[in-house]
Amino acid sequence: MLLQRQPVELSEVTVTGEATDREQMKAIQRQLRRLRLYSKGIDGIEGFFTDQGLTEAFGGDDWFPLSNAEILTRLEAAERPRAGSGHQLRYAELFKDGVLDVTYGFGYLEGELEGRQAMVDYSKSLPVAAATALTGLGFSEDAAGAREILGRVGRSIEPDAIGAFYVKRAAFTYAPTAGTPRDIDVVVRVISDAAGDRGRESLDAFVDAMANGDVAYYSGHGRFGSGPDFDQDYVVKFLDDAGNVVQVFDDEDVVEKILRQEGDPWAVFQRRVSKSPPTISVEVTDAGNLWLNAKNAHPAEFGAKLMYWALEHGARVASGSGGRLEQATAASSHRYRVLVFDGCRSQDYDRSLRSTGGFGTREADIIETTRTIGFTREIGKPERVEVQAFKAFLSDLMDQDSGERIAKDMGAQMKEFEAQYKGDPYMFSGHGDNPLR
Amino acid sequence: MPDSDPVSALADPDQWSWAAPALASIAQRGDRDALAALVAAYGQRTEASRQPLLDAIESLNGVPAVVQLARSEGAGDRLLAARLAHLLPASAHVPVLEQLVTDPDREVAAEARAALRTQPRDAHWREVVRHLAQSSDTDLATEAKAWQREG
Repeated sequence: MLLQRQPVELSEVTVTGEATDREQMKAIQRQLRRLRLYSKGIDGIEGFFTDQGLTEAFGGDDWFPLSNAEILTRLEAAERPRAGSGHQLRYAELFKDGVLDVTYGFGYLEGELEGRQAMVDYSKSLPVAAATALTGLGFSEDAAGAREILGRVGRSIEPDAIGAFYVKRAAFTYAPTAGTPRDIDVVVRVISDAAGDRGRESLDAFVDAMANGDVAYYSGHGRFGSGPDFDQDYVVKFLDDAGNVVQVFDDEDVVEKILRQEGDPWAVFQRRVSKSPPTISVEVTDAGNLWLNAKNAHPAEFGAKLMYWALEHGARVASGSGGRLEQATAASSHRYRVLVFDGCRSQDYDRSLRSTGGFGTREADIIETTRTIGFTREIGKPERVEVQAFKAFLSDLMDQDSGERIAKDMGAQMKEFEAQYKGDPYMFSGHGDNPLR
Repeated sequence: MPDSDPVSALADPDQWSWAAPALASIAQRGDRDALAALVAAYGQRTEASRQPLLDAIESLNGVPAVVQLARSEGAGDRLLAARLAHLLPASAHVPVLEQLVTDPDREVAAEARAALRTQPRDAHWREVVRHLAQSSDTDLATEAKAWQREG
């Protein structure tokens, strides 16, 4: 079931502030600069960056009804924060309703490690490790509590919604420089489906989180840069000339090797799949695919070609104009979101996502990976590298650290726990237009 | 800097293109440890091409090694047999996998079931699966019936 949230509708808003006065606005911009929330020119023109600074200063939209004079007075009274380093996330947007709503989704894993059972065991260990990590951060599993907290801010959870819900009330205090300090309740929803038979529900919940939540964090396969996936991708069948199945494959590398015996494997695939009758068929299980990148970023690789062929024959691109994601964010009351794609080469998603309404750099900050991501080094231990990275992310988020610090701390976990660690994999995209600390 | 030892170099998918054939060129045919190293590398989470690994496994007699490894008392060897059968399907594996699908070691049994699904579906395969579909092991029977529905 979907996590349904309703935006709060204001029947009528009366703006009581006086008309923008350019000199007064310049003074406001100077104050915002003093408070390290504005680094653009002092031009007296109220635009995105001025509004962003005001929202961050007041910790939300409380400044909307104030006059410029009142805003200026409040800003002048605010204490200048100490200098930091890096770019802030737009914490006012995340915390303005008093709730931090985080969804942590595990993608479907298959075909690696020491075989099927090892992969199933690993998949099942991930939500267990997440529970341990969240408990370590002071969270408790509490679906009723999550329902109450999210309901308070106009969001509802179906009783049979997929996932486990963890809550930490008054997890931290958010104290905007010119606003009222407030305690923030944090809800973390962990979506995991090791069996892969609830892929559509997992995907729906994750898309909902991307549009309507504060943070949507994915950990799993990147499917050759195509996007997250919450169920098995496809099954390849070899057929005889009469259409009878003669072999079934669950591994694209094995398919490639066998086709290589007949020539260039991709040319052979295309010839056989388009033959009449075809001697290859592909059963696409697309229910869990979040196809973000319409263009194959790795066109030289057989696996990437097969992945894209399968997607093109059974899925729809969710990004771009009019796509599922744009439709979802258009109906959302959220102006800003943080996304993490902890999968192989998820930087491949960036261009497609950025061209999607609701996911421009002013609307979304995204942590992406610049390389393939390995499994946990010591698999016999309970810690899981992907969960450790998530734990660092969440902990830093609650500490209101900079984007750079968050990515660095996540990378440090990879260094400690990842098999075949080859340098920090994370990069923050989109925070260049955020306030500098 | 590239590792000169092919076995340790297999830990890095970027080095598979030389490490896998290098290992295949120096190991004995059917060398259990070499095959195990290649199969372990295959299980890494990567999107690098695994073709060098498959070619090396094949050239080290990975297909005929399945029968012998499957007879081992060591569960690790039997798991390796099932993995090899999964990666290099062949009709000759079917009788071996028919035994391994009920192996007392759950990892061996699970991998053998995954492997059996991907073997050539000749008359013998269909007969074996028809038999398994009537197994008193309900999980195994359910899986075998699913394979039958695939065609």
